[in-house]
This record gives sequence, C-alpha cells and structure tokens, in this order.
Amino acid sequence: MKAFSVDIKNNIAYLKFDLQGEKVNKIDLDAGTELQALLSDLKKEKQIKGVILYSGKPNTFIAGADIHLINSITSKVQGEELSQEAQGMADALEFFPIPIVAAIHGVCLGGGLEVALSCDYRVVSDHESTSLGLPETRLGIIPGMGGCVRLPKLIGAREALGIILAGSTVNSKKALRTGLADDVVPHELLLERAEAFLKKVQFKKRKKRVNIKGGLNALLLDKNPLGRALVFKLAKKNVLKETKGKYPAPLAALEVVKNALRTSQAEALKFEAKKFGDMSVTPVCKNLIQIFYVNEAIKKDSGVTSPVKPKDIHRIGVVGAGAMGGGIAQLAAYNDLPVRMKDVKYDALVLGLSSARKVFDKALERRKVDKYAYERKWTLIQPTLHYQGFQRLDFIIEAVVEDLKIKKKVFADLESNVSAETILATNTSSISIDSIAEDLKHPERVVGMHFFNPVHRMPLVEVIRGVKTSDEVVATTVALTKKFSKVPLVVKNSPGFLVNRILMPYLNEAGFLAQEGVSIEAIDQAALSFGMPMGPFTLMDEVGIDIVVKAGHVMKEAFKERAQMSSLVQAIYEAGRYGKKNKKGFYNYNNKMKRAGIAFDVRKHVSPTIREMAAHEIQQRLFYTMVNEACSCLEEEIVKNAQYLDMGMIFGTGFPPFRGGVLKYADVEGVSKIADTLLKWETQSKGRIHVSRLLTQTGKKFYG
Amino acid sequence: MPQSVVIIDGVRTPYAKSGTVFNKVSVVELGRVCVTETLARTGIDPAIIDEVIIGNIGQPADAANVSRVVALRSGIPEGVPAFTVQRNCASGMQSVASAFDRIQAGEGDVFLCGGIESMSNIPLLFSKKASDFFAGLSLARSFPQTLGALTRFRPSLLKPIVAILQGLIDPVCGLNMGQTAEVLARDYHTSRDEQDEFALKSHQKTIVAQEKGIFGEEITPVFLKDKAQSEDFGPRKNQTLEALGKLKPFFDKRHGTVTPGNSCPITDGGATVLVMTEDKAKALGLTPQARVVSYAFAGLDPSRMGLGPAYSISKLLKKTGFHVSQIDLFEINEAFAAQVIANLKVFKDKTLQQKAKLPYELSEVNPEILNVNGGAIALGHPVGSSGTRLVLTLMKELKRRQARYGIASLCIGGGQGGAMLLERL
Repeated sequence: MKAFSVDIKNNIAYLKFDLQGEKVNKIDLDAGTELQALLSDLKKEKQIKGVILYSGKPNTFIAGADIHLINSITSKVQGEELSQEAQGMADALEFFPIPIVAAIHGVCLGGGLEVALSCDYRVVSDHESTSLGLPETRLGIIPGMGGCVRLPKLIGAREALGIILAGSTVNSKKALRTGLADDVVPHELLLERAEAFLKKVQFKKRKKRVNIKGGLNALLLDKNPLGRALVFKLAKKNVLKETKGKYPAPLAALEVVKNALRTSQAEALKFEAKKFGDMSVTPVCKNLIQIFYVNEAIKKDSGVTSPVKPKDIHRIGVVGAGAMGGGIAQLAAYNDLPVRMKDVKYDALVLGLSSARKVFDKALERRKVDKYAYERKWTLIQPTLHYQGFQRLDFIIEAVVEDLKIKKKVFADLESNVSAETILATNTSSISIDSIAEDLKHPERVVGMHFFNPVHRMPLVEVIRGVKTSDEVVATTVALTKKFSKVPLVVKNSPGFLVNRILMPYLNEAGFLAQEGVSIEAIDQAALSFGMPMGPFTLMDEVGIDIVVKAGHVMKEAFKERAQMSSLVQAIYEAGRYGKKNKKGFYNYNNKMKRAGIAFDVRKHVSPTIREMAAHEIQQRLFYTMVNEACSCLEEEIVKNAQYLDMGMIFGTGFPPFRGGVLKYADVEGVSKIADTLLKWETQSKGRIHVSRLLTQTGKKFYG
Repeated sequence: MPQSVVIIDGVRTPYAKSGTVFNKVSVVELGRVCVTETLARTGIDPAIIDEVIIGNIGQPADAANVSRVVALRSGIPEGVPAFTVQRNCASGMQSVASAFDRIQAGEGDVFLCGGIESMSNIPLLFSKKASDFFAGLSLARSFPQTLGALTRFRPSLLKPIVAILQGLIDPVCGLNMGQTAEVLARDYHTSRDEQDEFALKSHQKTIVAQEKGIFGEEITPVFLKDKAQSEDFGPRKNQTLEALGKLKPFFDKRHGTVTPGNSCPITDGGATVLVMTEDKAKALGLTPQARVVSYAFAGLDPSRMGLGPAYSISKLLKKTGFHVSQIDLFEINEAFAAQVIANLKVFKDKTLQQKAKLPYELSEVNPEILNVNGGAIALGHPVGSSGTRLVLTLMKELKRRQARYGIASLCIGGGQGGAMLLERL
C-alpha cells in the first residue's frame, strides 16, 4: 500500500488518498491499480454501507494525472490504451455497489476531478483553496478518464464546455450552483458533513447522474437537442476565435462532449479514449507539456547557484509614477504589499494612481476582489513627492525615464534616503545595470527588474544581474517576482537583456521588408498567422515608436551594423508619429483607439513599387533573424539555457506557445536549413546579418 | 513626577467645504491618509504604538469605532488597540489629552492621535415612526399581515431627518449653534460690522499663509480620481467687506448679526499627530517639536457655549500658574466671529470675568498673536478634526517663530471649552 488507506467507522469506509513521497496527490497507473484492488476487497466487507473518498494532503484533493505519464506517450494507440486503462479505474468507482462520496478539499483538477465525477456524490469544502476544473486542454490533451463524458451529462453541455474548453476552474460556490457539487460544507467539518450527507441520502447509490441547474436557461439550452446544437455552435465559434485554429485539443474535446450527449456511455468513452490518443502525440501537446515543465523548473529555481536565502520583503517603494511605475505599484498592492510611490509632480502621481486604480476597478468588476479587499488593496499605494518614509522600505523599484543621467541621480538620492538593507532595483529596459550602479557606495544591492507593459498582464520579469549584484539580492528579486505571480528569468546585464534583444532584429527586419515594398499589413498578417499575438508594426504602435527608436539606438551602439534600424522606422519617428500614444504611428487610430487605416506618409517612405511576397517567405525573414539572435544570446550565456530562453520569448512577447518557443521552432524548421538560409542572406546584407556561430557550427537541435 | 509628553510630528489633509472636493471621500480615507503620512514622516515602526486614539463626531454607520478601522487600514499591526473619542467640537483635542493621561497613568509611551470628520457623509435619518413602520413590514409573516402593515404607510414617513442639522442643535437649551453665537453677540454688544471685519481678516490671513506655503508644511494631499487636492478648499482670496455685508443673517433673520460669512463653514478634513514620552523620543532618536505642558476642559451655560475658550483657558492658566502675558501664540477656533470676539472682550475686562465667574484672572490678548494664519471662518471646521488641527498648526507656528509657549483652544457645543498649552522644543 503506497497511496490509499482504509479506516472503517460506523459502517462507513473512509478511503484516504495520500501518495507517499509526494507533496500532492497525482493519479498514475500504480495508484489506479491499487485503488481497484482496494475496491474489490471492500466489496467483500458486508457491514459497509458507504464510502468516503478524501485526501491526506493539505489543500489538495488530487492535483491531476501524472504529467510524466502523458509525456511518455509515443503513439496514438498507446495514448488510447492509457486512456482506456484510466477509464477502467473511473468505472470501478462508478459501478461500485455501495455509494461513494468524494469529500473534496483543496485543488481538484484534471484526473482528480474525473475521479470525483465517477463517485456518486461530491461534497466540497468552502475553503478558498478549493477549486475544481479540467485544465487538460491547456496541455494540448483532453480529459481522458471519462471527464468529457460524465461532466456534460451531470451538469449540462453549457457549463461543462465552460470548464473543459477554457480549462478554467470553479470554486465551491460555483460548483454548487452548477450542480457539480451536491453540497458545500465548512472545511473544518468536511468528513463529519460527508458522513451526514451519506445518512441524508440513506446510503443509496445515485440513480440518475444528472444534476443540471439553471432553470429556464437549462430547459432551453441543455435539456433539448436544438438548444444543445446552438450551444455547440457558439462554443466552436468561440474556440476558433480564441485559438485561431492553432490548438486542436479544445475542438477535439468539443467533439467528444457532443458525442457523449447522443450515444451510450460505453460508446462515448471509447470515442474519448480515441481522441485522447490523437491529441496526446500532437507536437502542440508536447510543446505545451515542455512549457509546463520549464515553468515548474523556474518556480523552483532560486535564480542563484549558492544556497543563499531571499530576504523577507514587507514594504515596497516605486520611484516614477508613469505607466510602468503605476503598474508595478498596482501589482505590489494587489499582492498586499504597501507601496510608497514617488514622483516629482502631483500630476504624475495622479496618473500613476489612477492607472493603478483602473486595474483594481476591473478586478472588482470581475469579482476577483470584493469591495473590502478592493478598498484595502488600492489604498496600500501611498503617493508622495518626497523621500520621507523610504528609510523603512525593503525593496525599491525605480521606473523613471530611460535616461542614464536621471537614473543615476535617482539612485544617488535613494542611496542617501534608504537604510543599508534596502535593495534597489531598476525597471530599465535598455540601460546597463552596471552603469547605473557605478558611482554608488553599494553597487551589490542594485539589480534590474524589467517588467513588461502592461504590467498586470505580462507574465515575464527579467531579473538582470549586474557584475557586482550579490546573490542575496538576485535571490530576493526572484522570490519577490514569484510572490507577484510572475515568471522570473535571470539574465545577464547586456544591451537589450534577453527579450528586447531578440525582438529588436525582428522589428528591424519588419522595417526592411516594408522598405523593400512589402505592405505593412501583409507583414503584420504573416506574423499573426505564424501565431504571434500581434504583428510587428502593430506592436511598435503599441509600445511607442519613440521608445522603439530609443532602444534601437542602444542596440545599434552595442551591436553596430548588425542592429541597423530601417530608415522607415526612423522616418516615422521623425515625422512625430509615436504610435497609439498620439493616435498616429504606422497606422492611424480614431478616438476610440481603433485602427483607422494606414497613414499616407507611411507609404511615402516605402518602396514605390508594391512587392508581393508569400506569407511563409515573410515569416522566414522575420523569424529566422529572431532565431539567429536567440543563438547569439545562448552563445553569450545571456540566459541559463534554451528552455529558459524560449520561456522568456513566450511570456515576454507572446511568441506562440504551441510552437514551444523560438529555439523549439528552429528545431522543427530545421537548424541547418535556417543556418543555410541565413548564410545566404548574410552575404547580401552588407553586414546587417551576421550568422551566429552556434547556429552554423553545431547544426545540433536545441532540444535533445 | 509626571512624564514629559511630546509631539514628534503630524499632518492634516486639506480642509474642504462639505459637498465639494471630498464629497465622495470617506472619513476612514481621510484618516488613513493622515496616519500613513504621519508614520512615513516620523519613520517609526508602527508596532511600537501603544494605542491609536482618534476623535470623530459623525461616526459612520459602516465603521464602528472608526479609530480602529483607520488604524488597520493604515498598516498599523492588528495587535495595536484603538479607540474613538467624542467630546463634540474638541474630539480632536481630546485624543491628545487622552494620550497625555494614559502616559501619566503608565498605560503606554507612544500614541497616534488625531481627529477626523467628513461632514459631507453624515447621513439622512428616518424618523422613529418610519423605522417602526419598516420593522412592522419586515415582521409580517403572511400576506394579510403584510397588507395590514402597508395600510399604515403615510408619505410623511419618508421625510428624512437631517442628522447634521440635528447635531448642531443643543438638545438641552434647544438653540442651534448659530443661535448661541447670537446670544453672545447680544450679551457683548458685538455689531455686524465687527464680526464681518473679523471674518475678512481670517480670510486675508489664511490666504497669505497659503501663498507663503505655510500650510504646505502641515498638509498632505488627498488623491482624488483626477487630481491631488493639496490645498484647503474654502478660503476666499477676493473676500470683501462689501460681499460679507450682503449676506443675510441666518439664525435670527429679524434682529440677527450672525451670517454664513462670519461663521465657519461645514467642512471635511482630518489631522493626526504622533505623541510619546520625551524619553521614548530620545531612545528612538526622534526630534520632538513640542511638549504638551497641560490641558483643561471646562463647562458653562450651553446657550453661551462660544465662551468656552475663556473658561477653559482660565482653568488651564490656574492649573499651570501661567499668565496670559507669558503666552506667545494663541489658536482659538473660529466657530463664529461673534464668539471669538466675545472671548476677547472677556479677556480684557475684569468685570466681565467676575460676572462670568472665571476661576482665574485673564488679561488682554494681543491680536497680533491670535490666529496668525487665519482660522476656521476661512479654513472651515470639520468638527471632530479641528482640535488636532489647532494643536498641529500651533506647534508648527511656534517653531516658525521660535516662540516658546502657545495655547490652542476651542468652544464646544453643549457648553464646554477646551484648552491645551504647548511648549516648543
């Protein structure tokens, strides 16, 4: 016995799941076998009238199926068989002659929820950690243990699709409302109430596994075929809009759910297993699982090699109340850290505070916070014009304009206004951490903490280590980033750091393509169909062309002709077109910030003859150059490894996750093919393209 | 041997006429702004505070013991207790007095004191009749009972009681505060012109102080959705005698002399100060700005409550052995011009003092050292806050002038006066 133990009391078998040697419960083959053996033993115990299945782990019922198991699948057939085996375990629960209650407290996801769905009843704790969901599609697979079959039957297609397709979770309240839970009980009294529940149903098996709630809507949409057809049609439309057809799993899940509601359970499960097999070997699935693994690795990574402990951070300071400063202050306050936000003018503070409040307003609107938390959190931001109160701050993030002189002045001021223990971070996107720290008495406490815009939505933070930055400071910055629920990536202090450095040649290349006569819409469209969240010109308009040009100069200084900017981008900048911020960039924008066509004078700066270019050719130009720069970064050890680099690009630029990252894309496209093409371009480019040695010399794949 | 009690520093929000810029700012928010900024400026670890004491009169229904709510919302640790004090117009001074007493009683070294008031947010009330009607309705258990309860409805039940107006009426003598000022104007033969001139000076002095940035030293801004309110919203730069003269008497329309122009406006605002023992300040390396030498509260005829300063100052001087001539600065709250003028007349007239049965002899106050930066007629009087504001303003001005002793005093609705003696350090 490794995972399950049984305790019989008052004619009830308390079945505890407590996987040895693991922090959380996971479903794997061994656990499945063990559970089935245990159930068949229990059948013989005549005095038992009911079973309560619960978890021995804190705040986790079952976290899901073992991902290693899914990742190890190499063929569709193997995947299908695995699914069937898992379904067998679920069936053993469903067809057990005695009623089973799942007493759920904490995380109940994926395979965990499928186990719970196979039980007769679900009694759910009211604790805030309790969440139920089927996140499989986020990993490129579908629920394959009967979840796609049992859930829609139980709660109706509408609610089931909401849970399966988006991979989002529901809390105890919503679980009760949708019919997924039969009762919500105080978490302290979970087992007592589960027992009481068994008594209430008089120890009877559930007859009908249908519990559709929602009154008239349910009648119109869930309980008749016409309504369901409408639900499926809308769901499909929505999935295609969300995934742009790049992710096959949600569509497969949709088919399985549809099928489940019109055939027998046995048939439906068979189809689920088949589709699970199909999905389990797609490159998208493998890439998403890879990302999951790296993400887990980053979560555990302290960011330094020494065993130094991060400092506790209780109070934050932000200097500069612009879009970034306001965003960072919001993030800290949202995570319950008081923030002192300094700027030199009231107007700036008002703007910073109001932009932070807008994010809180949205959170309130979406009920992510209640009105009490809303008031408590936003008021944690204290705007100020002076340094009073900075003495007691633990961690200060500077977010003033990108100007070395001004930043150095701010750091000098900070040094004389903070305690010896305070860590000083800069949110620079382009200035060297070492230059900022050079005249300070304590350069070891200076670190880069590069957030991306908009702060509350972009998951990545580059933690930039200067030459003198101490391990403790890096580890503290990494820990703080995690506390903010962001992904920290430790990178070397080098121009553009990681993300912007790799992004810059891509943006430059887009400019040169346009200069050669390719229309900017075609370029943006090609990037979109590649899977980027927006095209390069749209991106530059969003970021601000002035900022792009400023960063471009920094890169040019560092990488010379290799980082040449197109004259188009420069001309647009000189024409005073800064992008969305002044409603005119490469595109024009109306007052509602909607795009209103391409500006006439943009055309003036591009080649007079329109050049047609196939989308895949545009994509090669854009993304091969990106791969090339990524290789240079690996070569210079800007970041730990290829996996981390790919995470940086996915979380920092929205590089399509289904492709697994820039270097994973290179592997799939063919490293030598890319190298050969780049070498050809190098000779034509007059120094603009310089092929990374890593790319030409090894020719090896980045992922083994 | 009594402990030496000192004030380290403090701040206040701007004072703004009710219904204007702070209309949507809760009293808790006004308090939070002051407390967080006081903590930041003094740089202390809030865990060392022994108790938070804040004065407030119109205590909000959604924040019982508002002092505790403000403390928690300002990041003061849960383990630090808090209570709210109410001595009507002197609540903000009572908080400091209570800290003084608790220190003397050995009940702590460090106190965060203040006074806060949002007169914009004092609610309208339903009458007792109306609340009985609603209670009856909610108790109805059957349709006929509900119907029966509904038949007892009368439109007049919906007429609200304006709590703020009720609060300004003395429940014992039945006069409202303005009417008590009229009583003093009659008693001391104070003309309409005298009052208007006094009001004009208040505005003029306040404007000069504003322009010199004097209030900038004590004000911390309140951030609204679209702007930072960093200045008092009320003082009139272009106030004239002519304009004041056009206003009609409000409280006694036939014979009266008290107008909205020579009375303080209803106002929103907050103020806090950090109070501790001198020893503790030394131990923490903090520089105190003033010592609280002593204080006194005195009672008098509610219909002449405006004379409170004369009574309380007389009591305070008797207690401390000081004379008026030894005091370098006076801050006397300007609830009404008529009321301050009445006090000044009593100060310089022995006969009047005997008639009023003051416990200790007073002498004339030099107008040059009274309310040197203006007062409540221009700034406003957020009732529960003014007591702290006077102490704060006095402390800052003592420092600015390098003067030694100052007295802050107010009249208190219900027939009391409060006075506190500070010494600059």
